[in-house]
Amino acid sequence: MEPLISIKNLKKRFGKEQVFENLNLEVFKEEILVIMGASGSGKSTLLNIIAELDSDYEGEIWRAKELSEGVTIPYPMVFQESESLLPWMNVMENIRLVAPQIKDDRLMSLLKEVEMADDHHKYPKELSGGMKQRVGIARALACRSKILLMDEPFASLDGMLRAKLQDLIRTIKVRDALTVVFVTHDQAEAERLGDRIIQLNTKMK
Amino acid sequence: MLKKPVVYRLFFISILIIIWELAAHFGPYPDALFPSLVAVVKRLGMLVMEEALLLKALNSISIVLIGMIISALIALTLSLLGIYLPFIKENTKLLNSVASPLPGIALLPIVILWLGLTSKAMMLIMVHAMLWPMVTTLTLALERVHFKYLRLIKVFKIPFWRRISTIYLPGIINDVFAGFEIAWSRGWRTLLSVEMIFGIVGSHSGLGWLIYERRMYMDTAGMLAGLIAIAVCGVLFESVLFKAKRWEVFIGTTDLH
Repeated sequence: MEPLISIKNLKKRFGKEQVFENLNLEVFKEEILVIMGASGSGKSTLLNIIAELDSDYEGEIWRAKELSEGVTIPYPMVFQESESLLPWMNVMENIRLVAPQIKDDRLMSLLKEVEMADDHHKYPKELSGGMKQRVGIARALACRSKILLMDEPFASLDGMLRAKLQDLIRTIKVRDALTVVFVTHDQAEAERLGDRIIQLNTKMK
Repeated sequence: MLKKPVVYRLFFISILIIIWELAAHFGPYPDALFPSLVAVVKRLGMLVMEEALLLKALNSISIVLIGMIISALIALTLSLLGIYLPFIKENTKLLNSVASPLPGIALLPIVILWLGLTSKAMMLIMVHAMLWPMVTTLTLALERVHFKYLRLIKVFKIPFWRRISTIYLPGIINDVFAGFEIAWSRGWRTLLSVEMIFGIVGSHSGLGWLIYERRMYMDTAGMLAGLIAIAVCGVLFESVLFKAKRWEVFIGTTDLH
């Protein structure tokens, strides 16, 4: 399998605390890689490093050229519900915020994909947690990137809803030939969703 | 049906009126020092008709509003720059901690020496009175919104001006109104003190000067009428215009926090 991202000997510390030491990891094309670990194990930190949000580390990270070719946002992310949507914008405006050039028909087809087309004029306060996360997924897909980063997006949702959205991610991944890096602390979610699972220990040495 | 708090207030005000009237009619004070409320209300009517009380009130209000807008613009600029430039952030904090405890009236002597009894001097005092509480409110609000949506901004590479217009400004709108409310109460108090010292600036005078001027004519009813006008303006602004909840509903950001 062809790697899209290759991480070698990654070292990261916050002050005196070592988060990673010599972490090696490859993200392969069109897989769902689940990063698991307890709170404080560095899951979100690793995702931030992959997304180029954090450059304060040692080690090598190689990224395939195709990740940044023809896209302005190469590493779109779906966040947790609390930092997801802007409450003063409706569904369409929240998507247009990150993709201002998107055409109406493309936007509506994205919303159809995540079953939110009928709610496109609603504000976040009118949406359930699951609906908000569907919009978050549509917003990330609007960037037309080859990779989708997801930081515990379903953490605040109940089991049934979670399973539905996990199925949605699997469907989208296959249809759009996407690579997904999914962070969670939930073993069942990791097993249900992941093609591959890596476990981060709290003290990874 | 009247709500209980309203009944309590009306009851309390009625008692105050009765006590006042009894003191005015049967107390040892001459009418010139302690006029009855009827005389005060008559005087208020006369001031409205003959001395352009409403115009004076509008003049005072407009000075506070202009000062408030200038303060808000400066506070917004400093707070926005402070998010990205540590130099600005630290020095704004320093200036705020030094200048905030200084009442505007304490600066008057030096400002009068530098700028004279001019409208510029008055505006400087007003901006000083209103700027710092607005800086504190807006800086905290912008930092909260910035950090809440920092990853969204970075991941989706939202350009600076779009960030301001679509994230920062809508995100802090309720805090702007809260800042206006604090600034208004500080500015209004400062203005009245300043007006008493400045008197007539240009061709305008305000409510502060009106009550000061009434004292020179030994017009106690006029002074009390002026105080009533000041209180009414204050209550109107604080309880009607700056009640942020009303704006939240209007703007649709009620679930922001």
